[in-house]
Amino acid sequence: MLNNNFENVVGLEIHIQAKTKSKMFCSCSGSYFGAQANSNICPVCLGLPGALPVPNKKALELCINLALALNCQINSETKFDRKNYFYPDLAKGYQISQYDQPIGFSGFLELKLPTELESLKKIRIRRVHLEEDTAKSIHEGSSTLLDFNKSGIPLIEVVTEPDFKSNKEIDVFSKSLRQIVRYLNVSDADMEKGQMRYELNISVKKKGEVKLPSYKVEVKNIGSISLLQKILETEFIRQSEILLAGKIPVQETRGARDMSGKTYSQRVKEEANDYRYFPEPDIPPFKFNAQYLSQLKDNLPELPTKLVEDLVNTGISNANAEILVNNPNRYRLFRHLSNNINDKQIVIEIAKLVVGEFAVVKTELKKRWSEIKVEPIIFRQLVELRIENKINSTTLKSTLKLIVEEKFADADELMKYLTTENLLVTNNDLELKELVCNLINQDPTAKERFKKNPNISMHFVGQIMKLKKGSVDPKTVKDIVEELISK
Amino acid sequence: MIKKIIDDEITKQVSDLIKIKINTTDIPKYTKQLNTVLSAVEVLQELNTTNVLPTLQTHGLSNITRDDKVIHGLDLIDYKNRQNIHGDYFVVKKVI
Amino acid sequence: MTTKKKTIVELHQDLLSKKYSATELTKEYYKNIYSKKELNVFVNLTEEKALAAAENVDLKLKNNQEISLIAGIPTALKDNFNWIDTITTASSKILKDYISPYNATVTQKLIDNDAVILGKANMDAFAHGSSTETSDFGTTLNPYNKNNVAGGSSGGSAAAVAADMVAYSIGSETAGSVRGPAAWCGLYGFAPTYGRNSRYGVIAMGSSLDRPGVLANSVVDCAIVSDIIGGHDLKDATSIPELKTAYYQNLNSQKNALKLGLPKQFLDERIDSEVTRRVLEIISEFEKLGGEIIELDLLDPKYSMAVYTIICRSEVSSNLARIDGIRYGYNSANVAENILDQIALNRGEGFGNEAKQRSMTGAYALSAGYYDAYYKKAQLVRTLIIDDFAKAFEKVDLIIGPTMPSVAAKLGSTANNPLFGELADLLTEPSALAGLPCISIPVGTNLEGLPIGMQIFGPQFAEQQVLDLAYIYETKIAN
Repeated sequence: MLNNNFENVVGLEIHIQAKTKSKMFCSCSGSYFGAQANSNICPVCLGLPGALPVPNKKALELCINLALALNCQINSETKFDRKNYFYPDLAKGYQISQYDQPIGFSGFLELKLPTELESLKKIRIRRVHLEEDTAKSIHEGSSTLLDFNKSGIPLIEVVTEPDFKSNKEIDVFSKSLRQIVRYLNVSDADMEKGQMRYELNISVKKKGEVKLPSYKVEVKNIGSISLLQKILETEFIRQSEILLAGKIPVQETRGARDMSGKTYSQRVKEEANDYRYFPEPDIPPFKFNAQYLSQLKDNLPELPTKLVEDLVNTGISNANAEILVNNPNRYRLFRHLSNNINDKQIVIEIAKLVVGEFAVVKTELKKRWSEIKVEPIIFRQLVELRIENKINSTTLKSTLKLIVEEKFADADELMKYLTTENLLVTNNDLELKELVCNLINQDPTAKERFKKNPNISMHFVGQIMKLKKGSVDPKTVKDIVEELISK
Repeated sequence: MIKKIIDDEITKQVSDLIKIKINTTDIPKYTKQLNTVLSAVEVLQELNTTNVLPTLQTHGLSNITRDDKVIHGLDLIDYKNRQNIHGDYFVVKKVI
Repeated sequence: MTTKKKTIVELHQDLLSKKYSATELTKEYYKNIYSKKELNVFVNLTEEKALAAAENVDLKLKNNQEISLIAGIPTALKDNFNWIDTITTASSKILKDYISPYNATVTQKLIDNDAVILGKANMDAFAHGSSTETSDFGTTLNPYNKNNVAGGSSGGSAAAVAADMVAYSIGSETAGSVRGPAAWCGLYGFAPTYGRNSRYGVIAMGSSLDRPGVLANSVVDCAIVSDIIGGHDLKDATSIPELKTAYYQNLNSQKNALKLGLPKQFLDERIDSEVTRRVLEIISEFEKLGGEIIELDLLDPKYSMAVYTIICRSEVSSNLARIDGIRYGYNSANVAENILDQIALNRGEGFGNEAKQRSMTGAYALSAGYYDAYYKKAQLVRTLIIDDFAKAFEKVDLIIGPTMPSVAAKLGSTANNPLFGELADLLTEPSALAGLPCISIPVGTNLEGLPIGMQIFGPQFAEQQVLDLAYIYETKIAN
């Protein structure tokens, strides 16, 4: 069905709501999720006559930071411009955005693709700029309800060159970008909350053709990456079929109406919109000197790729490092717990635990990574006991759960608990051997059965564990049982 | 000297662009006014502006921002221009 | 009690010495307002609020509390200044019911200083004009002669002072909207450097040009009010950082030996001969006091007029886009099928001819394909004009000349000219484009008894010098 003579030419436009306390051009709150409609408004974001915009310093810094992280050049002279058009969700009848002097331009993001063909793909970033969001529109029957809480929220727009060739690349890109955005504290990037929105620019050309197609189709308001990928597939088919028929797809804006990936023309909405861009007269221009920019660069939070590198250098496995870094809050927990610990063995063990047992406990307790509060000193005590094999894995998990539930005030209480509950592995080999011997001797057929089925040993291990509980280590017991039963 | 720089069609297009409904009978009146104004400003073409930088603003300021702080704004309940307010929302007809 | 041509200084003294109360003073001014209603000065009167403010001042006086210089003294606010819980119309039908939910910074400063605001003064709708004839609520007549207009766009503000309805008033200047009506109504009209007075809450006309200003019966009053309403505002990103000015404290009438530039373009055949003659008479008085008059050859004001026309209309077309009837403003009784068509109906019916024409011209000047020839070209020539002044101020301290090419226009004479406003502001547009501090001083009347105004303007931030020269006129020349 798919014609192998064609290939996609895809660019992405991403809008990211910057995580600031206040809005882009006024002092209304920058977080409105769940708030009562129109409870977060002022003359500026409501577009009242006479109101004036004043740019948010933090939003500017976050935009520059993202541009730097995306390897962009920063415009040493930048400004805001007015983009004029009419829509009920646009309070002023124009959006304050950036036109010809965006904050960042000519950057790139390198993708680590898990294929043999291209292990490192560079996606070029055309521009990164700052603008404001529109109000929220809710369609109800023949009416539209407008909520201006969202009007004026800072948006960072990232535009890529049409470098994407496959859904896989889009997948990796979106995950990388989301990770970077979260690590820079630019945004929580929750697509469901509208904090990160994607638009697609798609055209199709013959494979091997160097020239870019003469048209491009824009698809806006895509709510999830999986929908984006479906749209890519259906658009590829739709456009390929038109090209095969000897025609050229219409340059237009299309939209999705459901999750199927099918798109519909929005030509009626897209009237001849001459935006009449001109420099925003109410906001003075910006001039960044080299000192300011290098200061921002120096203070840039570390990026995920560097963090993984650093973890691997301390001896943590690559796989574990990737898992730890994948979620910024999980990574922060790891750092919190391993802070100031010079013993590599302990750090590696902590990493293993945050990757493994911690995840299990977190799920059981229905908590988020950001909600976990653990005293590092208490946790370190647990880790050391683990390394010394003084607690077995069952004890480890159950005690970890108690630590996360904050049941211990300090390390002493933890030790007291483990001692009282007989959970410290004593591993008195002689005593154990005696016990095992007695058990085996009580069962005359044991040795015979073991010869046929070695798993029988687990029955004895289980019995011993029941008796001795946490004070023995199952591995040690198993070794002893197998040693004695095979005699 | 009033030059005919634009015609009625352009007047109509511009009025559509900026969402101002003008009665068909009034369009020629506006076309005339616009042409009067546009003719008068042609005088600017007499001046040589090569190597001149544009003046966007006269105050000479740059890098003006505000601290990222929250200050309470308006309460909808006190807002007195209520012709399109229903409950907590501004309600209008759909776009299409 | 007489309010005739009383200054702030005099009135403040009278209040302190308990010659009369603020409440009595307020009522007296309202009498003047009601006796001259035909002048059509106010869009809305705010008597209840005014009397409450006056009462508050009387209480302070009774308790011997210190009060501001402008406390208890009646004033008028041009109707493009937002005033909380008060209708603010910009003299346009489209905002006739708009109730401000907030105060302009200038409004707030007046209130903080216990000013008594008697009402919102009439203006050209959205400040689009120089005569108030574009107001949707009628033209403001000139108190000197009801067959003539008061001027504009701050026509109501000017007439209010000239007709003794208030002691001083607040206006706004984009091209010559403070200087012009001040000249035509025989007043002092002062606007400091662009950015000195906050624009927050002033309904925008030309964002890169608008500046709040004051109209009064004396230079001293202009200085007092400007010190109060000016200063850095965090809510206006284009406001000058300096927190406070001290024009009043520093007023000085001793610096007579200044170099005063007189552009020859300001005295050519475009200017009414009586105006020219009178202005030259006053200029020779300055010379007698020690001033040196230097002739200047500046870029012809016709270029400033063209630049102003384009830039202002472009900014207007964008600034008025927020008025769509949804969150406030006129809603047409005709119902459209969808909201975009409804918006077009609201704006088509609500806006007057001038607002529509200027919005369309501005949109055209900014549109794809025409931006370079119009908007961009205008910005480039604006630089030439600013540089022209910079060169001139290397030779002279201040520039002087007539404020307007003529005296107050006759009612109805401006009707068929879509460029009337710009032509009338021919001599004020150049300095407006450069945002220079300026004042119009009343230098007498013509044979018909209509006031003639002379303007003084200086380089950026030279407010004190401008006021000082006007002060020299007021104290040593005017009689």
